[in-house]
Amino acid sequence: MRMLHVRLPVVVLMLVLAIGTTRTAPAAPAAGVLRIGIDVDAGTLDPRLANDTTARRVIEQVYDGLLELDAQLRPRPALAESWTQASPTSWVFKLRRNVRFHDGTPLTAADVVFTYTTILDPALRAPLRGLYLPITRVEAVDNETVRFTLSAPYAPLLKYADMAIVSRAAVERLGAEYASRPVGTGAYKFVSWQRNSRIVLEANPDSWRGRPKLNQVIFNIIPDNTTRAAALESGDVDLIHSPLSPQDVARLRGSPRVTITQMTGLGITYLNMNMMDPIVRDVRIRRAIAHLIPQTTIVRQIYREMDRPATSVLLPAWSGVFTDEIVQPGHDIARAKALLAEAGWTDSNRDGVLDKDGQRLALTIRTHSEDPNRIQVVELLISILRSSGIEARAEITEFPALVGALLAGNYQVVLVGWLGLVDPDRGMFNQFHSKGTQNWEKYNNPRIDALLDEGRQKADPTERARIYRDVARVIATDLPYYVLTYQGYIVGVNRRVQGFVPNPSGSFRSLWTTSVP
Amino acid sequence: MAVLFVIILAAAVPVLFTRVNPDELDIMARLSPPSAGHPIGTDHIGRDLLSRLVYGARVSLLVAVASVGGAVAIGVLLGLLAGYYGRWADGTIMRLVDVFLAFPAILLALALVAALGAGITSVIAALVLVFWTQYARVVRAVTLAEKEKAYVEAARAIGAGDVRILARHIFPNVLSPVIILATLGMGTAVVAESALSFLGMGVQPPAPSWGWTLAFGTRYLRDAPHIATFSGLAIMATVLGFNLLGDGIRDLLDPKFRPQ
Amino acid sequence: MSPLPLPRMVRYTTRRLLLLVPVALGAAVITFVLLLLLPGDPAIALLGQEASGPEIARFRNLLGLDRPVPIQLGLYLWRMARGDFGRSITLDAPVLRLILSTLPATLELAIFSITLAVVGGIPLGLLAARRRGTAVDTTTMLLAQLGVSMPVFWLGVLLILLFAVKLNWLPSFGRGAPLVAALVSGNAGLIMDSLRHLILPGFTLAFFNLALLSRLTRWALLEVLEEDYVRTARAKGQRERIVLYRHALRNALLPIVTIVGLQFGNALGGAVVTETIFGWPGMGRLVVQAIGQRDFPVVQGAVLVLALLFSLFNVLVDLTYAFIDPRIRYG
Repeated sequence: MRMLHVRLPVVVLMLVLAIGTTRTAPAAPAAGVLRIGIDVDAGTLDPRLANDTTARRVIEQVYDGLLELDAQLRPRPALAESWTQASPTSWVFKLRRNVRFHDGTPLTAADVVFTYTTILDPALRAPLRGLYLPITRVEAVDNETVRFTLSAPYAPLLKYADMAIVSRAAVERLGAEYASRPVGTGAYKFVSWQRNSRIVLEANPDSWRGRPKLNQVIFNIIPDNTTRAAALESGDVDLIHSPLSPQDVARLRGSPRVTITQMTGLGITYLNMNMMDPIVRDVRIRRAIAHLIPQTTIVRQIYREMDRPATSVLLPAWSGVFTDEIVQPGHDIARAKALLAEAGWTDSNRDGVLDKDGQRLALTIRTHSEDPNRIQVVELLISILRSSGIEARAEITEFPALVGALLAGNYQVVLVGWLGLVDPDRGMFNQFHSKGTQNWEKYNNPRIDALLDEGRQKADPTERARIYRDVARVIATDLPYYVLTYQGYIVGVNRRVQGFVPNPSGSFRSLWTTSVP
Repeated sequence: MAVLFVIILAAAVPVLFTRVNPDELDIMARLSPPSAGHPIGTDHIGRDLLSRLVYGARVSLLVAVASVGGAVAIGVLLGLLAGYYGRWADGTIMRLVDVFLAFPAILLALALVAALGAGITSVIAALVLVFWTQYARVVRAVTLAEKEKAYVEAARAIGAGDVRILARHIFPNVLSPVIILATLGMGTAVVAESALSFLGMGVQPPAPSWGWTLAFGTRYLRDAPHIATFSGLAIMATVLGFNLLGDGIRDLLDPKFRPQ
Repeated sequence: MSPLPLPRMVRYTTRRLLLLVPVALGAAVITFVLLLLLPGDPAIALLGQEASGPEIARFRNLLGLDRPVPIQLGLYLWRMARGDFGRSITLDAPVLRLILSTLPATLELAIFSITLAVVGGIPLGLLAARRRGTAVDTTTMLLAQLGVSMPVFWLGVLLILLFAVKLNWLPSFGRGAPLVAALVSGNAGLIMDSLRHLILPGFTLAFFNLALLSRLTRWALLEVLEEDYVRTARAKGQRERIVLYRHALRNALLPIVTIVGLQFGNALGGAVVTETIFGWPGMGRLVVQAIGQRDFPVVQGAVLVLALLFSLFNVLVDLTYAFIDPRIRYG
């Protein structure tokens, strides 16, 4: 009782220190277990409803699609052994034999039909439904063959045929629970899901690919980029990938425990210019803005070379289509000033801000609050624009609010991005076609419309290359989009992990060959 | 006290402390540690950190004063009404207080800022709506006690109207606890603003806000620790200043605590 | 006016509990209105970059968002009254399940940090009061001042950097085994795992309260030390220490209980930033994410649960007042 009030806290402190310093062993990964660090929790594990990266990563392990895309984005067989194009509007897929779902039931054509039919059903909240609209009918020719009938030739179809196939029986049995208890044909089986904490998978020894080398895959959800990178560094996780903070990547490169692989991905960061805005609709203003942007500096300083400076709306990952000869306006401040003057903007009242007919050249650049790099780019741009006499300000909002503004056309310039652009059609049709569902900037060019329609119909790669290069050329001049960077894709792996092959789409498909000794 | 004085001075007359424009940046020099040209280094896009903090004082103090001021105004008014008129008024107002108090503060603030659109006005409005309840409660308690006292009876006996009684007799007694709470509340407001910015919903850039600077500073904590250190210090020093001020006022008002 | 306060207390408690209903109702309505004011809606959040005019319209229809507001509000209140919290839009699971899966984590962190604060703060305050005016007193109070002035998230990140990365003593993220389950099982390994994950976030949350409690305890104690009856008791020759503890502490309890109650409520929903930094799977983080993704059912359900818990806790605290200080009567 005597010194209780002094002793007690001391005892507690000692206890705390004792706990802190006793460590069984440095965080060594158990053999055969791969621990992955990811940034967000999956929303749903039903592949037809999933729309976030984590869900996709998990789904790739638990499920298979008719085919899958390799590192060059070429389709290769998965659940479909082979496929043929019976006519311009008809595709036939032959399924692999003796494939079973994790609950033991066999995979049949009926499951494929069920998967695609439900996705196309407007009553199901499938976010990717728009990609599959040209499909008018999916039918089972026999137990192992499926035919897709299209409303018109649709060149990108194969790129989207990696959609995971769900078990019709399981969906009907589990109902809404299916989203939390996925049943697929993949190399790994679903074990458990602690929301906002971790998702655990275990090997499927009967997988059609053969027995996976890993026993368990654990997805740990660590939202903070720096904490996740620290977890890789300290050995608490074995694998992390984009999104990563540039400074963490730079530091991880120097860590002896970690290997960093970097490649160009399937995303872009770009400026969306509203063609309906009275100021921005003038192409000289858009070109002037483009000329003012120090692209290389931004990529080097803010993105620390994680991303690449973009040349046009063509992605380097689109091999055969991409060419760096098509370029947007480059960094040229003098030219920018000349264009502004040419457009009639002068500082008539000497207040430092350009004006015309009594109106100030005011520009608001918006972006979303979830990406600190984009916020910094906007801050930098505001500063640069201001020094050129433009009254620039920033507006940073959450992503849903930003999209709301884009939809309503209530913006001037927005810094935002696209992800998962597996095909030029994905990156251009909805964005630039006058009937495109995501043409928020209301770009309207009949020549582009014709080209995009053609690109969708023609299957020949050389033809498509020509078409999309023509589109890119026009876009680089008209500038409804100014593409800032090609997003890089970076993977950090603990050296103990073997056999992991990164894929620019971010896919972890190679996990079935990965091992941790 | 001296600390607070320095900060207020910085807000009012920034030129005394720095001649550099807080918006001027040199992207190549981003995240640099303290050097000749930049006494405490540069921030995440190359602006001089010292000037950002100095001009940021203005923003932080503005948020603090405005939000506390607003909260006090609403809280005092409602508290007086609740305490004085009792019964129906008291019931409704106190239920309102309960409802607002039931919300976790930061979630309420976050939702409010998201709904109003980020920016300094939204932040202030949100903080006002979060903080008013504590003033209302205290004022109500004091009013309840005071209104039974003899001098109030006397005033009423000579025909003084309610408003007069409230204003001249009760209000002055409410002042001292409110002032103490308010000074402490300023510190909380500064921290709240930086918490909101940390979560991405604060004052808009490129306005120099301590919260934004600290938020970005924690992201770059290992490469450029000076950003988080100094901005965190600025916040802490301000809060400390307000706390000390509050303590000092309380000591003044309550003789029991004079050191022996 | 019966001598036994019990029947009155029961009446008081019942009245307070009944009052929870309008409070909950008020909170529910305010949440509903606030959510509607948010720009963008769950349809947009669900569609992400697939958002387009026609798809958003389809989703809004499927989600029931294109119905008139009063009908939406009515349906929502009706369902809530029946205990149906609905289904999360972005997380595709029953809201109640999500809440129940994250609530234990938040409670664990809250209780742990309050315990740390109490166990650390009160003795420190007592020490400072006893050694008033000495170096011990000044240093303790100085540290306490710093403690209440320090932004929570700054402390959290610094701690991670020091203990998890530089020293590699403690894990940098996440929650270990649930503490209660570990204690019950008696498995030392599990208990260690649980505690190791709890320490850093727990301390981060606790620090402010620890500092506050130490200042408060010291203040309360000093005030009481002036009271007449203490002097009288001392005159009777009882040992100084017992005087301190028995009389002084009980009086100091009142403000201390207030603060503990307030801070516990704070920790319930206010630990958001700490939960984010440490990857702690708690309710605060759940709600913030839900707000960002416009997941209305989750926000509504979680806010309601938090509001009820907090109000319930307030009633408990008020009842404890009456218990501690017989002078307080609720009529």
